[in-house]
Amino acid sequence: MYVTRGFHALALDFALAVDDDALGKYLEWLLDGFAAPPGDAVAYEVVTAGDEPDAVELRFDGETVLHAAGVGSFVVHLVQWVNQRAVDPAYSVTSHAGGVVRDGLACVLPAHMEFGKTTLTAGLVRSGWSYLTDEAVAFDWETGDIEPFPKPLSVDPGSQHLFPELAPPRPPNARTYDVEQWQVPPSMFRADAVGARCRAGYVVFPRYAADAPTALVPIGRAEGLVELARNTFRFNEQSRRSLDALARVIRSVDCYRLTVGDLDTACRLVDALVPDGGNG
Amino acid sequence: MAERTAGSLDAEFAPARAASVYSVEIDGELVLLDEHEDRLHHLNPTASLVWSCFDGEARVRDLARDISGELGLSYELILADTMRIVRELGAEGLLAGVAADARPDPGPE
Repeated sequence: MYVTRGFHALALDFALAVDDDALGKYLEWLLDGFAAPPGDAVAYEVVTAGDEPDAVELRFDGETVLHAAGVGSFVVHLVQWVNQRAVDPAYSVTSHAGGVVRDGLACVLPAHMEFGKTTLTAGLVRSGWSYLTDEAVAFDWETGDIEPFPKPLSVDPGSQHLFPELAPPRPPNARTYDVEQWQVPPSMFRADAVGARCRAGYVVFPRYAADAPTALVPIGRAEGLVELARNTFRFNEQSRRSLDALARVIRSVDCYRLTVGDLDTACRLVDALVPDGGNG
Repeated sequence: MAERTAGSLDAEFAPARAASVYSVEIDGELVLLDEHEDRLHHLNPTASLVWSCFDGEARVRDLARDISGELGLSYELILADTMRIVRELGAEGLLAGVAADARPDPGPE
């Protein structure tokens, strides 16, 4: 039995007790962005030696909370499960967004699925920004500060050719890597890729558009607030409080729309938002 | 009291904000949250100015007169703009006593 270190993922504190040492070490490597000092982590079991050949389960108190037919799909489902459990309006007001930080100011990248959040986030981290998340930007209800949610980046097949250096190793004992989406720990960029708690400086709404001219266009903060709210998880559960909290954030940032036809050009445009052109 | 339709509103109407609407101001523009419908609306500076004048007592023609005097613009022009804004806000269900226009059925998800 391999027991991982504790992990802190916003509202979810957990550790994994894995009945396969190699898989346990792999998951610890994969989730390293969430590494946390020993605390109140709740231990979940990862079971490979169940009744069904090749199947992997996540269990809590003997109850199955996640079942996958193979190790590869288990890794993907585990990351999705962490995403779902980490986002909790009782903990923070959290927007569906990528996030990177440089010089203490975050660039928040809110967008719907398939708009290219992860690709742009990965491009910016590769160009020197520090990684906050590719999925969920968590704003403190009172201060608006952003707490990093450095999950493994979920890189879809359509973007993998842009990041050949990020191809993750196959999970141990996986007969095949039976899923197409890569799960990439931020440490694959560099050891210190994860950024610290910070405040928002820029909110950029990206949208991938193949063959379109890449362009960064300023928009008003009120328009930005509406877009940010529409990309906020479970906004309607506390809509008035959420709107007030997001408005406090928006009042101190610059807002833009970014059409991404070419990733490198898009990254240069975002770099140029930083006063020293991103070279500091 | 029966609700009016947005199309029936005229310059004698005295607009009042619906109780379900909460607003925040950013750089002179308002973002309205309709808590009844769980919808957000972004008002441009002109519509934000008009919205801020609604008190349920002043009629549209009074508002237009005040605004035209304040801005030094023609009353007829401002009245037309104000009337259009009031009807649009009414059609969105943001005014007390005005029924929202029916929205297209999005169909099954």
